[in-house]
Amino acid sequence: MSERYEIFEGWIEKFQDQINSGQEVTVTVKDLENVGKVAVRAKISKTADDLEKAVPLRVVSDMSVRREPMFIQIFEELDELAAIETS
Amino acid sequence: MDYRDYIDILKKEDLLIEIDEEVSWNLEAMCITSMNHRVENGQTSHIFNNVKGYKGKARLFGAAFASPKKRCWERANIIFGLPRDAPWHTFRHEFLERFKHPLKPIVVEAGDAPCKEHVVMGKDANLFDFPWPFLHQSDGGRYGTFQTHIIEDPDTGWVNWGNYRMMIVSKNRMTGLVVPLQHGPGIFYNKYEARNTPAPFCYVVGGDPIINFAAGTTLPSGVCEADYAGGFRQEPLKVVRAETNNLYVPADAEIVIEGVMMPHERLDEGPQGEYTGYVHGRAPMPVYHVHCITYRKNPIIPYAIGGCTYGDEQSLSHAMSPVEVYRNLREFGFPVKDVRFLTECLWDGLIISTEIPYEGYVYDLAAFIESHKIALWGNQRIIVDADVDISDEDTMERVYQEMGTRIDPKRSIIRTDNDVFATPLTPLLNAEARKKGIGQADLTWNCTTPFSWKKGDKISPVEMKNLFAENVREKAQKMYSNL
Repeated sequence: MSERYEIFEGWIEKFQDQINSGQEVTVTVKDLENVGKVAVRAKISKTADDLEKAVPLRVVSDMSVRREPMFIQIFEELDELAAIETS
Repeated sequence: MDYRDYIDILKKEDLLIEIDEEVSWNLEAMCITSMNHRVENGQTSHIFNNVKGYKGKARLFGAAFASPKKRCWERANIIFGLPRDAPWHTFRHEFLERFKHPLKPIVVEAGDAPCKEHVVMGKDANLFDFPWPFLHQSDGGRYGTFQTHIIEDPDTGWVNWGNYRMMIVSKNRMTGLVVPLQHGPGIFYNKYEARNTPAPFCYVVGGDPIINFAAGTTLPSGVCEADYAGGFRQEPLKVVRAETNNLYVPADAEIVIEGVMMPHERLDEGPQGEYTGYVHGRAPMPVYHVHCITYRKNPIIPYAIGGCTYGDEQSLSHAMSPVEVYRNLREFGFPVKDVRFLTECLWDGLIISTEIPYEGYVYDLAAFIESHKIALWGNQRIIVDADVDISDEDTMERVYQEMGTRIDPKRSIIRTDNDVFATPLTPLLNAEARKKGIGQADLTWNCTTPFSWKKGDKISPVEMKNLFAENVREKAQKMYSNL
């Protein structure tokens, strides 16, 4: 499976508790096919087994890429990009 | 002239390569252009007719304005309608003469505006319908670079047209770098934000390429670049009213993006590899909400690859800004002979050749430049004697010779330690200072002959014109060309 989405390390840290407990999160991710951001309602996990439709998620820290074994299941795209980024 | 006319001229001048092989907007086309700048001196432009996912829908235009390093004004010659090989002083003369006669744009109806061939409004407006390039691997997103940002001062009605980078965030959101003291997205947007009011904007791709040159010149406050673009073109630009706001845009633009900058909203912008040769980091910047996109059939998107030693941005700024500085200096009575940029410094290293009319003159000249808008972009200048010719293709070698032989550490280094304005792109500042946009000192290298020197104190340089008579040089040149 190749990586389709990317997220900043800081956002993972922000939602670490929710991610660890398997809850849904509302985050922005970068769609690597379009190289643009999209706000999504999703679940994130370290294992693909925890998610029904897992897609690999690349985690980056500024300009460096960390090859974290993270996966994401996206439920829907949202149109509240700026609100999510500034919250 | 629009971009399509300009491309036809480049073809006739053998300065354009059309690439029909499929290439991706995701780094590939940009890598080709970057190689072009680094290896081939960036003299040739590229039109990518087959961008992956966008064939027949849009094209990419690389190295649109790249001139040879030793003749940075060559593309400006072409765009000004001058012979390509016209010398520096011919271009300077034309700039100065046309600068005296700005021409206000004339308004045309939407039916006569090619930029209205397609109009997409609201939720249907999708930035990803166009192949915005992903320029460098380390960038924060896809970028528009050689595009014109149009915004109006809410107090005075003064409309600013400027070349500002814009990062595509999502299908209907952009964000862009704001440099304090820049008129449009800086000063004007701050006024709207203080009133808690959205700021209407238009972001324009294309039109007359002379717009990019006018918008990239350090013009005075209170003037509209569109008027000077018309002056430089010697005929008024044709503009048309935007669909969703009262701004006017070039009627022959390739793409027009319309919307509002919302107050008190920020998104992370960057990183981006910039003209300074360094990667500028990420920072929260204002948000552009897109409400409408209008465009021509198969539009052309030019792009600049920042940081490629010498590229489009240097060609543009090194042609236009020194002439504007020269004009200002002469206007204020400084007996300067010429002004150029040191090409290897990308956008720093202003070179001024000047007479020295009195003791201490160089300090007055340095102080004037430190207060000029040009100093926002670079903190170093080199002052040389009036008999140093900085107009020809070997200018830089001659300037290095002056710096290597005439800098006296006791008198030649003029340093101003006041914390002066800088841009967030300034590499010599730390992160905090870049964020504040202040903190650099100013430096002038005085390579001139001291006013107190007597005749005979200054020795002559060894130059071809001093070594050999003209008839000897002519005969030698003919023989040399046949070797």
